[in-house]
Amino acid sequence: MTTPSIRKGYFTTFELILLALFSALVVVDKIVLHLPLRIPGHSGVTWMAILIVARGLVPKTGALSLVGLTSGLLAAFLGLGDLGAIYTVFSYLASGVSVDLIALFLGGVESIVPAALAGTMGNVAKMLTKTVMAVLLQIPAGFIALGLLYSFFTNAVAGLLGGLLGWLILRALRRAGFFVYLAEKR
Amino acid sequence: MSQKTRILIVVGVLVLIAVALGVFGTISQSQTAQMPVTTPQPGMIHLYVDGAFTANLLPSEMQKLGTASFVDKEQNKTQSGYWLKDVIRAYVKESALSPTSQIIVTGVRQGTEKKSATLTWAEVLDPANNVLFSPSNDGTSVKIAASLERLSTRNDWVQGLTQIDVKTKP
Repeated sequence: MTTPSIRKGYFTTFELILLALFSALVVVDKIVLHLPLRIPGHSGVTWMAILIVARGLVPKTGALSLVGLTSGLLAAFLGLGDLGAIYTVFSYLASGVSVDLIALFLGGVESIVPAALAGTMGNVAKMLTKTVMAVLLQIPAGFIALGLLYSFFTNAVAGLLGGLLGWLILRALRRAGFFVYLAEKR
Repeated sequence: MSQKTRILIVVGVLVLIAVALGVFGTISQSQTAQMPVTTPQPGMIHLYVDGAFTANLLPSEMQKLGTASFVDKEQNKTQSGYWLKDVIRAYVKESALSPTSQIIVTGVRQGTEKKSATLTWAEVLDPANNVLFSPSNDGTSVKIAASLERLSTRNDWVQGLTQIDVKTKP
């Protein structure tokens, strides 16, 4: 008599729970944290920090794409974003996918430079997706064009700061022994 | 491939994006400058007065206006931009408008779904209503936000503004 084999998924249940929590955290961050700044992309400071921490805790390719998709769907259902659900889902997804790709290309976000670059690219990808969507949805782009470069720089700087913040949080968690605790949970 | 090379590639991609956006911005700027002012141009917000096309709203014109802001009731967030009354005054003589003149703002949501709201000139003028022409935080679109009762939530606001119609004699 053979015992039925349990098919192992790519992510463990524990990792999926962690990623779901990070997805919720991204949405909560958008709703609750209002920085009194009128700088395009400033929300990327906290947003990218959350993504970098998520990638550090679940160091698997695709983890952040999943966070991006889940948080995008959650945000769309909660009516976040000015231009409707499709716009919201794609911009959240773009951040997750690009941080995922950069982390894959640079071998993770454990070092400071890859973490900062992943954050930068994540926030820039969100801005580029919004711009492309605005053009595709035929939203008047005359206002966009003049400020695109400015918007790029502010998004890049916010993303960079977010990446650094995420890396600092990961370092603090590592020093506090959180990674050892996680390894036992897995 | 060494880590240093990989990092340089990512930085290079970011620089390339910045250059591409810079070139796109310069081209758009020169196209805007050469744009005929007598016909509605794609990619611009169009202003019509009594059914006749009047102007493409230019970002450079907006920058001359004083900035304004208010805190919305729904999420307690600061909305900023320019008062709609100042935007209209920049293109339409105020003497042509009466308190009952209609201002119809039309926007686009999710690509195909059009959305519009009608306000009277008196409502636009009332400082308590905070009728704002508000470029989004990332500068990718413009919305009409306000605090008067029927236009006080995100669901009521007109996002992705494409057109403003002014009917001087409704």
